[in-house]
Amino acid sequence: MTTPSAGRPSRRPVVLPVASELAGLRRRMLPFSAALGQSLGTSMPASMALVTPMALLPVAGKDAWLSVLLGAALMWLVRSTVVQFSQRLSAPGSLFTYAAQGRHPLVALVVAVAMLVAYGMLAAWALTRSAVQLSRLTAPDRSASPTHELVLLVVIIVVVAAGMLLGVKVSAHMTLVAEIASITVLVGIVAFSVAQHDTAFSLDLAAVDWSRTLAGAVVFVTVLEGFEAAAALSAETSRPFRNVPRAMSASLAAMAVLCLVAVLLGPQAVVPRGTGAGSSLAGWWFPLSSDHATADLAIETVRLVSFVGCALASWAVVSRLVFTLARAGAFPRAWGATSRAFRTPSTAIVLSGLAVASPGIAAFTLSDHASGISAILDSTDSGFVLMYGLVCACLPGFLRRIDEPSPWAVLAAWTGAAGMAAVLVVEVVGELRDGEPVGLLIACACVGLGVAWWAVLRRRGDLTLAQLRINDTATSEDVHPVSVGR
Amino acid sequence: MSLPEPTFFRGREPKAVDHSFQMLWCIAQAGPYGVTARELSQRLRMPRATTYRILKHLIAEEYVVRGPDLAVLLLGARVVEFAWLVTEGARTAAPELPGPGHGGAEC
Repeated sequence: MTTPSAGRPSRRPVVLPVASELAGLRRRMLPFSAALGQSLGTSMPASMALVTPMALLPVAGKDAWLSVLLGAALMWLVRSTVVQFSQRLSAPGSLFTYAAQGRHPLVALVVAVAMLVAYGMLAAWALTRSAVQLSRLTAPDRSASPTHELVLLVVIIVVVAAGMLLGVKVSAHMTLVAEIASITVLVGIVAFSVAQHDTAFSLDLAAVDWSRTLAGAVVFVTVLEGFEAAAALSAETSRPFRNVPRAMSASLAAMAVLCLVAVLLGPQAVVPRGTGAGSSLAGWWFPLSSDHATADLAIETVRLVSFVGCALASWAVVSRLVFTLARAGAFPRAWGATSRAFRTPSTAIVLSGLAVASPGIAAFTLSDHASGISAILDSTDSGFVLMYGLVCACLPGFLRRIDEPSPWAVLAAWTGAAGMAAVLVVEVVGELRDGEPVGLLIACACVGLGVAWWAVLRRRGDLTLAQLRINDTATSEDVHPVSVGR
Repeated sequence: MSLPEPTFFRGREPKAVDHSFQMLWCIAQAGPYGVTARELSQRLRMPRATTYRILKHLIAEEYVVRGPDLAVLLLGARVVEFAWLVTEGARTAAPELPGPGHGGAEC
């Protein structure tokens, strides 16, 4: 055995804080199941699997299964990059903190704006759709009035907010239960659909229309957004460096598998398009069934439960980001306050709740509120793609900074960044062709607001990169006494 | 003190076990100064990819933690739990056992 002084570096002894900079949260107590529920909540696997055949088959045709595989492969590259960060730091600011660790604060603030827009709009959409679904299910003739829906929206917001304020364990498990219930019903729907039809899908690669397949892959990438939401609860999850990456991987894998099954075994794989009953989901899934009322009830129930879970999970992401930004000094510090009783970021939950409720309430005031709700969802895609691409581009700098270079990780990161850039370009070109460049406007707004925010904070002189890199660092309690010189 | 959760282990990775203990030994020797992944790889003459892979597992299981700059590695509190179990168990079963200081990795 060599002496303890052998190879001692010239650096100073590490000084660890007594308490985390994120003190106030219920630290490291959520089980893996809750982290998984969080990621599944934002991804909505059951609901997405139900609508994916509808969205994908018209674009990709018979090779939609290949689009699913290609889209999943690209997102798996993005996942491998995000996992590189989540295995090294526990940060409720998730992608924003990852970007701050790897690049200039300007990039981190652009990612923060993109996250606020993407997850904020996703939460707003999920809340609004929950109200619409609940209204449809509770109205006697399945037709809902905007006033009825608005009242239900307020009720849902109050229930979701109460779940979040009472504690992350309550809200994360509410999300998990919602997702398990909706996936169970989805499996039943697929099994019933397969039993009804003579399922015979083709996996022939001989006559693949690659342009349609790639267009389908771009559509499918947007279906997989939100898989990394577990990172927002990393400070509150036990063994975060194990449980958070596993939750991300499991969520993405579950999404890809369920959507592949839906595309392969869905009735549109065997029944020619057009034989379904109109545009209703029941018509797509049960085109040969005459009892659309029962089928519709099952499908709409799955979607309601999924939407509530999504609202909980995406609101949780926004609240943790606002909390992190406040603790970092990029938002007023008072916004980083926590509840002493429940140890949740109560101020951030209330403030982000006001923000995510506004678009939904505004949509219900429109005469064509269905289009308004749809526009809310459309506005999330470019934000997600932008932040994934930027975070992928930040990984090489991060690995270099901590002196852990890894050629394969860097290659995957750059490939993921290039893939996300390609997806954004394809989306923008498509939108420009249709004359509705929502994605382009959102992406430009994210960059513009990020730059303006950085300039304001820089002028104020109280922004440092170290502050923006705030994460749940190890405290003196987390290490062996020998490592703090005790 | 909670018992550690069982992890999947096939028993076909004896080298990885050796490397894990060598790493823990090396990090313990560094004391409050800590050690970086690159330094570990150089001192133990291990490929970087192997070092990272084993380190990720040790960090996931909280035997090793990262310092505030995320580059320096320190011994985690889980080692305290392990040591407590070993010393308490040894004291109860065989009080005459010799103390620590036998063997160790070259670091």
